[in-house]
Amino acid sequence: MKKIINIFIFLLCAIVLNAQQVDRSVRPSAAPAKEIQIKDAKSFTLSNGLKVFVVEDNTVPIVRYSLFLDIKPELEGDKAGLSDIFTSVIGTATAKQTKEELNRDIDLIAARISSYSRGGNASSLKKYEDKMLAVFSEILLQPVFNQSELDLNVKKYKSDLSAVSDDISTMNNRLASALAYGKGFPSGEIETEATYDNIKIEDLQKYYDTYFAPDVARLVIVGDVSEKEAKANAEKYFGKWARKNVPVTKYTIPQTPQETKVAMIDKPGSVQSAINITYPIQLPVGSPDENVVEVLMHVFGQGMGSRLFQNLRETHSYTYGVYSFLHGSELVSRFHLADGRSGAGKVKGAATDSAIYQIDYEMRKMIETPISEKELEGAKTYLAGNFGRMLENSGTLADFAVNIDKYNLPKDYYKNYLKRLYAVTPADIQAAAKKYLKPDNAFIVVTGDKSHAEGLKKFAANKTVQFYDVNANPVEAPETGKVDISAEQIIDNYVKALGGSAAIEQINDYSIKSEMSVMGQKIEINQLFKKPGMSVTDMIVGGASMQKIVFTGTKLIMSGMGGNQEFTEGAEFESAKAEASVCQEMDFVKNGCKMTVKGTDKIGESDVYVVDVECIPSKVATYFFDVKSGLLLKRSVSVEGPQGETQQVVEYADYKSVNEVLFAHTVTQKMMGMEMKAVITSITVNSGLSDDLFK
Amino acid sequence: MKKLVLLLAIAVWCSFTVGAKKKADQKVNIEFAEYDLNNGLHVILHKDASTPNVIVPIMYHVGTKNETPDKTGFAHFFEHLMFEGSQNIGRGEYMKIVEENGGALNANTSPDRTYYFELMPSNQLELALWMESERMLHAKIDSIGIATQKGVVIEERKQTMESRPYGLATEKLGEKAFTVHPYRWSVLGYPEHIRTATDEEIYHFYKTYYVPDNAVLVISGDFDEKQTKEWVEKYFAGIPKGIKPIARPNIVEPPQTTEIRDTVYDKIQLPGIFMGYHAPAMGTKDAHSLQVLCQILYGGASSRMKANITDKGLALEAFVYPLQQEDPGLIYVFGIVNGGVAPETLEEAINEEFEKVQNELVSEDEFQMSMAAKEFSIASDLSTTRRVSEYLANNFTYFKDSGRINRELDFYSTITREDLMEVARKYFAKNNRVVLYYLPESEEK
Repeated sequence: MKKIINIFIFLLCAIVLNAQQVDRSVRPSAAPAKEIQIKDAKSFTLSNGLKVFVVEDNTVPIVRYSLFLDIKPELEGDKAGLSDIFTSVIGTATAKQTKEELNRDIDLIAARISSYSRGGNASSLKKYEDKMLAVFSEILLQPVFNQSELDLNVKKYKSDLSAVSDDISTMNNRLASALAYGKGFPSGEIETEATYDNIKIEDLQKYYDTYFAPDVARLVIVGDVSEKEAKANAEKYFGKWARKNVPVTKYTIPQTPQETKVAMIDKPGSVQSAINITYPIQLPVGSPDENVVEVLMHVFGQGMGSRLFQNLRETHSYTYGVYSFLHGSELVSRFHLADGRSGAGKVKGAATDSAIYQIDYEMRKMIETPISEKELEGAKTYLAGNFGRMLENSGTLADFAVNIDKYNLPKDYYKNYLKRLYAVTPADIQAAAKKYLKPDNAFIVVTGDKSHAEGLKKFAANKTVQFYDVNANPVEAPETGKVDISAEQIIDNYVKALGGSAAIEQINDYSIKSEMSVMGQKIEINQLFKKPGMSVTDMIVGGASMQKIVFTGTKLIMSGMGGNQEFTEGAEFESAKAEASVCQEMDFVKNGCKMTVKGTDKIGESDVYVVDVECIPSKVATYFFDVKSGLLLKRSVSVEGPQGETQQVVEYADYKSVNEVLFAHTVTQKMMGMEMKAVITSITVNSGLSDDLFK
Repeated sequence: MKKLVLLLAIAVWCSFTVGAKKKADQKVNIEFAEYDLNNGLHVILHKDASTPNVIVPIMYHVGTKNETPDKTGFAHFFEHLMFEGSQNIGRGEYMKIVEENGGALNANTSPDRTYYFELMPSNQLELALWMESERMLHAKIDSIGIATQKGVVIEERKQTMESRPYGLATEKLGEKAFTVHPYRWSVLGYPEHIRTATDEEIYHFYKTYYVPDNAVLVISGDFDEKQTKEWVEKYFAGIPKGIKPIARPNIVEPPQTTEIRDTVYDKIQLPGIFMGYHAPAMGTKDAHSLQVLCQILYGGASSRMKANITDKGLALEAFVYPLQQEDPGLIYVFGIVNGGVAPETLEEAINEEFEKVQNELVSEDEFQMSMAAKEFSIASDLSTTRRVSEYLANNFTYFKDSGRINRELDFYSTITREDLMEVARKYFAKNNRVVLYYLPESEEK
């Protein structure tokens, strides 16, 4: 009655012809490339140790001053969230002005001023430069931390925290950072209500007193300003700032995990899953591998032309876009996925395991197969173009100067960027792929409906999925509810709900016509059944049979575009045999299937019993029966697809009575991210179908 | 029969010199040239040779509002299809070719227009022009691409709307606020319309709107003027004019007469308030006045909603956003309550701010702040070729007046504080708005 059909359809392209006046098939070639000019930023150091970098750009009358603290503050521990709160409170009052006065002064000149736990930024029209600097330096050098602001912001952060569980990306990001970095490293610390409550006003003052100092800071000045003006302003507004002896914290540097683990947070009923593959790895700024990894990541996952994007979005429509990132960083770098906005990819729920399978596949392909010269060339040209575009923003020149100073790079490091880029070879890329893509040493982090956990086990070295709460604490796998009803009773209820065994038994044959739409194409499906166990499934597209499956009782014949195949044994045969029945579930006991009641769960608003059924050894199908109506709502089974193991889900709905037996009139099949919905258009029962039809 | 006639472009010239120049009064002046091809394609050239880069945007004057109520989401769906390839560019090659040649590209769709842009090293300008002309002339609109992009767009809707907290709020506001105007559906449209769209309908849409006389091409950056004009001629002049009538909806939404209120229960923890006030069309004096007023309500750190609502701990976030739309659209006012605050309390606080500006003139200080903010944001925008080219394209598309780019600030100079009170009264009346409460599912009875 409920035949499962796998369909792969290839549609012909409609090609549109147009008259042409020029030979448009010739792709224009590039004109000679212009040389990219990289000017040096001007730099000098004030007597208090403050390093200043200046880039003059007179395009528009705007100036920008940014202060960066180069510090390694203490771990926050039971005050996790301290730097967030500090960022919110600094800038709200100074020794001279209240919040209202400060904000008014800033708004009158329409300056943009912000400050945070590692410095601050300020920009304004040139004509307001002095007024802007007066406020900016006051905020950085004489801040006042008020209890009322602390209370206000702690409350806001706690509110925000209460909404974390609304968003699968945020949840994923928290867990992924916690796992990748660990508690001994700043980015691995997890804020909770309790840690926010532990933050006191003295902590903010102490943080400021310890870490805000000119000798650990760099001031970057960009825009409509000459070196002379910049010098005078730096001296005037930051010259009297006193040096401090700023301590440097030694963190526990996170290590790449020994083996791949799968971590999950359950988000019941989520239509999408947020997925991440992440791990920490060493890739210092300025290291010889840095540019190779940049090319590798561009090819692999960091853009719309990348292999990940092409595979997951353009080939499979699993997602609106998944990207991967790995950049050089001072202490430790981190490989991770993102959806473009936040630190996790988002894919359709039904494609959760398929998407991870594809990412894993692309990682291994990158490691095992050398990249072609052509693909490499394309990536280099893109990165060269991108480098040229970065220079449109004059702030980039300042960033270069800051990096050279901070990471002790050669003076011509960025001037030689293109030279290093063009020198990268396919062998370099493969070596970097081996070293930096770690499918066997990663945390696979998923936030989504727990029903996807089953399909994720295979990715873990220990074949288990570890569940976590929103605060990254390990928890037991969410249990399906316990019940005291036997599998036999559930099946019995189901048979009764359908109309009872007598009504089912009196069906000698049936003929069902359904329609479904796949990729915009209408497909008709004709299914025939006749006792004692013969069946036909015929799929018709545009009036022609695409695939026909006949089960004669002793033979399975499959015919279609790929030619004819016959089976008299094997898994295909066994499953066709079992399905050549009005209600195969009635025969579970008779056929010696092993049945286990797993508990209760929910499908949408309905409570369901979950039953595992094993008719063929080690091939388990999971059935979901509605507690209230007794009807079968869903069946899920793990099948071998062309790209490995994948979950196949069939949903049954819209039960209607025909000859006193209920038939599901809508059957939706979900597999590998595809959804195919078949709707029955007509059913006839006991019309006396001829045996000739089943040959 | 193939016609081998090269159409000659007739150029209408404006003054043309290099780069953006600051005048003595520090005002930025953008210099550009523009002309029409015989097929109606408008071309704008803006030179800025400070780095060897060029940006090539095309704005098509088609957006969500050109759709019919039973076929929503087409304009945006097209934005996706346009990356599928063309007669001379294979499937999946479009993005690849651009990137392999050192470029980057993207596109976006609004209710009023669809905007594509390619960022290229300047030595690849010809390639960019060829590629854009390819998809204007004969983009690959076929079943495979349509099927793939249907799936992608449906995921985009899930990611950006359905699975995001409060993600459907703007769609719901539009549905409530408009009864006849096409602004009543979202840019992404309804998924069932996307699913059921036929290839023929999609192709018809392409042939109607993706025509040279419905587009403006901008070239901004480092290029040689004479050579560029030759290339534009070579690749675009032969593209035929549109022959199908372009639907320019002149649907006027009847004035709303009573306040509309509704409640949505969603998977959220913190209640939210989402309001939409009917707004004037972009470019009108009222629209400019409202922008100034909205800056006073929600702009700088001392603006009213920040000082009186978020800084008082009533809301986690509360803001005003006056959308700029070709037809009268909406001004959004959104607030998410801070933990423990009743949504009614937050609404009352917002109402109070909106009533104050109707009954009292804003202060001189506030007025000055708002004008200074405008001056800063325009100067800041005009510092990049990306923003300059978008301003030029917008001004041509909506006003057929690219030169507005140098008068952006003038539109604000005649506004008075009295004007602000007048628009506050006219648009911020309760009967001119929709109020949507977003509450946690657990509160649903």
